[in-house]
Amino acid sequence: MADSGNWCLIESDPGVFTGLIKDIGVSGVQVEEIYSIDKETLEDLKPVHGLIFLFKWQGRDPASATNQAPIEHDNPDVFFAQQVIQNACATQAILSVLLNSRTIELGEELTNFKGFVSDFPAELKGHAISNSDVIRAVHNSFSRSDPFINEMNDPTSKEKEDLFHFIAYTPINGCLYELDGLQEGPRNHGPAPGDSWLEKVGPIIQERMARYEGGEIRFNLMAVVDDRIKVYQEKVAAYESQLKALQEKEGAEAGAWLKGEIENLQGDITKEEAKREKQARENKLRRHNFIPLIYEILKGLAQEEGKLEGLIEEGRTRAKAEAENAKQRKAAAAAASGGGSDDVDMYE
Amino acid sequence: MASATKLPLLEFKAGRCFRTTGTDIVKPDPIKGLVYLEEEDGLMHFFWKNRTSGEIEDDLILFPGDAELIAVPQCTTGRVVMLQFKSSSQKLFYWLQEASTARDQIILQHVNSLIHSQEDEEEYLDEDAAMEDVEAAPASDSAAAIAPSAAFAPAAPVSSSSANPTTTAPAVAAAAGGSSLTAQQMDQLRHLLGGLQGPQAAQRSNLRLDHILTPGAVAPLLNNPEICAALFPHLPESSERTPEEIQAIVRTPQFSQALISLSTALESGQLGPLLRQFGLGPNAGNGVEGFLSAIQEQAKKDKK
Repeated sequence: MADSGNWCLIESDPGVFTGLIKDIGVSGVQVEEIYSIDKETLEDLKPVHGLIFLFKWQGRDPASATNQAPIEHDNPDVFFAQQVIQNACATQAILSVLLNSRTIELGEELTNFKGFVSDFPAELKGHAISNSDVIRAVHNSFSRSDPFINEMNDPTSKEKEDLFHFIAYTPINGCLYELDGLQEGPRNHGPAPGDSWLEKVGPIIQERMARYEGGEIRFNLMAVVDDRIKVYQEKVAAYESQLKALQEKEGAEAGAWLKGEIENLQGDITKEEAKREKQARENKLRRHNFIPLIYEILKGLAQEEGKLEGLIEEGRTRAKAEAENAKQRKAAAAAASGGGSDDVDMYE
Repeated sequence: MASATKLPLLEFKAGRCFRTTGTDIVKPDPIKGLVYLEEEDGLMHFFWKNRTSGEIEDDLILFPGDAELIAVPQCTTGRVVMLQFKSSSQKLFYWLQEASTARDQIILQHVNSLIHSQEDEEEYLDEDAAMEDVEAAPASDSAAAIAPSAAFAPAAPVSSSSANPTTTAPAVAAAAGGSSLTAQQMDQLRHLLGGLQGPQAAQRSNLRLDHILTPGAVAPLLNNPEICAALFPHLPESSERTPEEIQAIVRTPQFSQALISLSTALESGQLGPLLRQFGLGPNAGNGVEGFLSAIQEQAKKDKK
């Protein structure tokens, strides 16, 4: 195999994840980014199939919590795979939600995969994911457009110690589960019937975030939800038939509230369509190899006397300022954790 | 890691020093290190190796005459030297860890002569007679100082390597003007240290293409229909072939990301073959700065 085992780094972007899911053959779901874990936000997005909490941090591993939910071993109803390759872990977190759902239409590829690995222990499931040519190919098709970047590390991270970590939260059989590929098994946070898991999960995630202190942490929260346009259209259909019934009884002027709601929903549909177009455009840009364009632009600038030189000088200034800021941040962090040694005073 | 078969042109034990941001205080880092110079593919490399871990942590390319190693006399508690560049305001500080201070001056002179020898090489190539005269004096002085320790590669002062027959000649000039060089530099140094700004110990340039190709940088180009025509074929398929579209694309995060990824790949030094397809010269493979120089050279050539 040409690039067996090579998983490229992909962006943690909802448009990427939605496209990835679709290209693997899953239908009727999309991935939304959410900025708060409060009840209202999650209510608006129902039905929610799972949450993916992903974070990137530098610094020491956090101390383990003392009273974590217990690890459940060998529950045949729970699909849990251990994380094998770092770059694959976003995809793996999404699969954790998809493959534990009773309602999502997985499509042929994932249905076969799920059946194939159902008896495998957690580690082997993880290997099966990383060895899946189809899943890997779809994943890699969303990676940055550069053919030569084979590294496992994020080229944008200036520190080699940047780490990615993804955890999925999803309800299975009426209990809230935490699926963390770096653990030995799934953790059961206890019963959470129906949608109540959406309330239960907030404090759990917050506690998790609080464990990472003293380093820089960046995190995103994504929700795997039903296709939004489908949800809106179903609501519109329901309101329209209510409106029709009401107008038959009370006349054409009736149903102002229903008309308003229908209009709002149609506005939401238009917004959602625009968002999907934007995401499709972005995915096309991600796939595009920009090197020839970059070269031609630089060449064009070099043709005019002094133009490129000027830009390079400005660029150097920017680069220095950036490095300075980074050093100050680091120094501040170091100072906060205590430090200091012998100085050489230049003006002794 | 440097290959075992290569002899460094010069090496000396030294640790690094880091400037505390916002001050003029330079802190010595206690790690035992080794500075050594090696020529690789016609380029002079300045390496700093961590002697405890064996890791090479600094690898700088010194272009002919672009850098200077200067003593920093203000430091009275240690032997601090500064590597200073002409092409940038980058300054790197090291403290000598050689047990004896006897060779400190020679180390400075030798590093500087190696850096400058690349410049002067062509000049001296035909002057064999001059070389012979000059060879006698410094060779014996430096041989006496150098011989006991294995730190200096014998090839350098004795001019036995055909690749660098002239190292001795400039070394004489440096030796003769040795003390005045330092005095002159002391003045410069006081001035420079007083006005030092910007980050120190940025061991490698962190210049990236996205620092240079800001959306504002590209905009003026788009008034030129010829240049636009050269850019259109390289836009994504579904993009319109208009200047507005180009402007929109260079503002996207995906384009910035591509600039950053390309910069990283350029710094890895592995892109040489890929860049030759653009007809760029060999220094296109030397990081972002090399890539940019190669493009500028190409533009000059195309003009003629």
